[in-house]
Amino acid sequence: MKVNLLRIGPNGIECPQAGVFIDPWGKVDRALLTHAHADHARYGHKHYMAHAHNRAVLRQRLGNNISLEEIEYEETIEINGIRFSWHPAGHIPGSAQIRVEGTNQTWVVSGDYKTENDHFTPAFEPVKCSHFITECTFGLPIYHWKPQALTAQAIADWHLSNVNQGYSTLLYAYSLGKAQRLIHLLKDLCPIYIHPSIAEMNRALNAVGFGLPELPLISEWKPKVDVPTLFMAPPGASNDKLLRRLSPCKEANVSGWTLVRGMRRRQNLDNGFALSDHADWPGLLNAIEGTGAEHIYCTHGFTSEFSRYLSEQGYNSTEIHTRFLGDAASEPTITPETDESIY
Amino acid sequence: MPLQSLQSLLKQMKAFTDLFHRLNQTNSSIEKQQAMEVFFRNAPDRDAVWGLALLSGRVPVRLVGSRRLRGWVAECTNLPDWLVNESYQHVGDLAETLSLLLAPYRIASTANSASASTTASTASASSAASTATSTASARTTASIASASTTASSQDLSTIMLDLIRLKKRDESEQKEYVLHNWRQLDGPSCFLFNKFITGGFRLGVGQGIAVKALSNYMNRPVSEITQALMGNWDPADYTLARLLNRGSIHSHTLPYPFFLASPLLSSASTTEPSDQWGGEAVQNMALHQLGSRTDWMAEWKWDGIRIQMILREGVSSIWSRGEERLDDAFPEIAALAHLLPHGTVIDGELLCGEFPAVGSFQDLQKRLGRTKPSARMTTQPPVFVYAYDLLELDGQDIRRKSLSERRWLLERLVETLNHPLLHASPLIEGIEWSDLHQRRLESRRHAAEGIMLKRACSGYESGRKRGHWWKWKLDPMQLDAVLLYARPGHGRRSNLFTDYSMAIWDQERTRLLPIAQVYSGLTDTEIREVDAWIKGHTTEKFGPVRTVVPQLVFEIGFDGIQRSVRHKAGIALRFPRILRWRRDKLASEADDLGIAEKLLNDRNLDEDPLNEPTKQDPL
Ligand SMILES: [Zn+2]
Ligand SMILES: [Zn+2]
Repeated sequence: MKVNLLRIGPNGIECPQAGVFIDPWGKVDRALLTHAHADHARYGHKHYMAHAHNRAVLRQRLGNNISLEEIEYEETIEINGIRFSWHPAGHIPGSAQIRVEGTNQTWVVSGDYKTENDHFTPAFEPVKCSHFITECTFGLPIYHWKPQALTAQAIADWHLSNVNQGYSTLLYAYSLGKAQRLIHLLKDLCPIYIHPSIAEMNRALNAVGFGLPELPLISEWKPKVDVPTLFMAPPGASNDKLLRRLSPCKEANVSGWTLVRGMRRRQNLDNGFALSDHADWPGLLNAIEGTGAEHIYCTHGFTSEFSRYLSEQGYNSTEIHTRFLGDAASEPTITPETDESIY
Repeated sequence: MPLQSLQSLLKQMKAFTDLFHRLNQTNSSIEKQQAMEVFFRNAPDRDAVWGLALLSGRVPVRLVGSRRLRGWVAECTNLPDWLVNESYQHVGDLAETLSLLLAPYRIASTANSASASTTASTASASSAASTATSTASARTTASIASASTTASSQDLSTIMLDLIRLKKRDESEQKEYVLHNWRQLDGPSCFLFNKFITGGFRLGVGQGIAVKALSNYMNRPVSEITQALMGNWDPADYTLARLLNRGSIHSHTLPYPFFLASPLLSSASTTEPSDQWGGEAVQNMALHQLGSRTDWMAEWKWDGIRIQMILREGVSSIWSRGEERLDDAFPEIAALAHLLPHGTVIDGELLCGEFPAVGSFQDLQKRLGRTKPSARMTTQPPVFVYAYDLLELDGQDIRRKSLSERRWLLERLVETLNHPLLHASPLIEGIEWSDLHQRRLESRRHAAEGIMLKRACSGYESGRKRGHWWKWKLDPMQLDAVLLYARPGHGRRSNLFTDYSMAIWDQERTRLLPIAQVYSGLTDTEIREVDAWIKGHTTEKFGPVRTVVPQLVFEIGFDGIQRSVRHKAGIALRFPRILRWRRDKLASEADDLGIAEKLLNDRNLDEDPLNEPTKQDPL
């Protein structure tokens, strides 16, 4: 009987032969990370391996003294005869798919990914494999993203109309990933004032070579003195005292979830923009096709629906129940460090 | 379809699509009204009439059942039925689910038609036209087919007429029409189209705002437009001008704009601390600022429906403050109005009860809530009118006369008429403000909600003009709030929507801010009525929670108010509950954050808001 190279254990995705885990949730000796979002990079492992771009973010979030081995894209590490390599996932800076190659099988763990090139994060590359563990946060056919240029234009138009009416614009965006992508898209529009937690992430990314502009902090904007402008803060900060001084101000969430009107409404904000760092429905299907894999494992999101659909399309597809999903159900709040995986 | 008109027609449907999306994007009545004015200005005349019909909830079009539509969309998108259903579960709204699923289908076909030259569509139109000549039955099919050929360029009225026609056709024809439009319409229009065919079309506005917008645009009084839109009319039969002149407006049945009182609350800046009145210092300081007591007339603030009774040229009419005709709901009052001398307008309060006993507002609402004409004809529970003011006498507008003079004329009129259902609202005597203060505390005993103060020399103004009329409510700890979300209750009430999320306007009165979660607090009958209303006015579903059209106003009472950063409104209420359903109020008339802030400031000066002062020491 053929033994699978990877399996799901109590600590998450595990490669028993190499004695390593990928994005584990328990405390383990060797954790291989796809990226630095809190639902993937957890505290308390003995040794971490991640793409070099995560260096500053991980040290900031998990502590300066963590044991971290930095890997480059396409670089191959061999552990006990198993070959591991990191490949761009296009999700956020430092995000990677992890390829695991044994004698009979090649697996790819997608982590979080998006297939649209945002021209900021190294673009997603399909990696050939026999077994593909894919996220499916937006694994329903209603989710189709518009090209980011159109969404950026919509945000810019809305902002300008706000300013014309004497309002500032406050965009809620995850402090790691979404915020930088937005800054990259909107930086020429007008000055952008950012929340300190975004500034912190910008510094961490600039430390590894991302050339983000130096932006003023929200606290530096003076009500009634400064003209209406664009603010950016993580969604978890919406009750922050810092934000209360920014009125009059129109608020919008920037998240794939806002594609559904009801979600926009429920957030009780003025607007919503469906810009996501996760793959949409066609993105997921294209990515899966691009791997050439026969065995698909679905995790994060609409796992049962997506897996059932893939099975009907002739794939050998399995749904992975992660502990993380259970957590998400009981804890609907979005903390600044996590991302759309949690809803 | 001639090509040169294509662009202009595209714009036409766009006017309504834009309106629809603008209305959905804002909670502000002002912005909604502005959007509607823009629509009336830009839309072709026939579309304006259809728009008006849709805005006032007159055209429920449900072309195809949900299951059939889901089947068709599965077919178009090549998705399994179960996945379409899962998507529907997730989105919660069928029209939106269809639109989202169809996005790639639409993109693909738009790309095709863009790459193909326009001659292709002309060719298909003419081929449809040639089919039309073959047989009589084929002709009707073809006329629809040719209409659908140019679906993206249709104006609103064409689409509505197509839909009404297609309702009677067989499935294959309906399918052809729907699929064609799915391919042709752009995203926002497709969504709107889906709202039409699923019968889920609803707008977050009452007729009131539409009427105001039309009134501004046409430069004609609100009451005139309200009247023109009353009853049944088919938008297919009218132009806007003809609709508004329907049966020629009887201006002699129209009320005067109501004069409204402002709440008597302190302004913190002019308040000096005073022990004299204990906890009531604040209100009394404001009272003293009114000057001499003798300049003012005081009467009870009755808890009924403010009305105008009119008799002109032999025609009577009863109007509520919400500019609704009440003649049908209260036939005995309509009969009373007929007994008035010609050319009379009385301002008063319609109350439930047998004079002089005043019943509850809830009983009054029972009369209002009846929709069947047969039930409406009954005169139970009994009502009567307390007259406040006389606005017209012998056909003369006497609103400029002083209140004391109008009051004298009113009393004489009421006396002469000597009708059991009409009485002058009694004045509250008392020479000193302090007497009044004492009387105010007795309001509840009189079934009143406080005291009205009217300057004796004041004319009858219109709207909420400050300075001459004040309402001095017994319990200021209440707000008129708008129902925004609802969820089912527990246990016995788990099949009814009994838990409500209520909202008030922000300072600019542009946005509704949720302020409190309340359990119903209504009578069982009202709960069922609100429940049915919620089910018919849901704009969004999330699990058990429904978002509803912001339209119903409730008076909510509470025991305390404080600042809170956790709440969007910045304030939190202690023990909020529904006091009553304000059927007489429009959502645009609900309270705003400014009023809540005033309550907050007053409370901060008043350590224990629950205790009425017990000591009275006026001097
Ligand atoms: Zn992530
Ligand atoms: Zn994630």
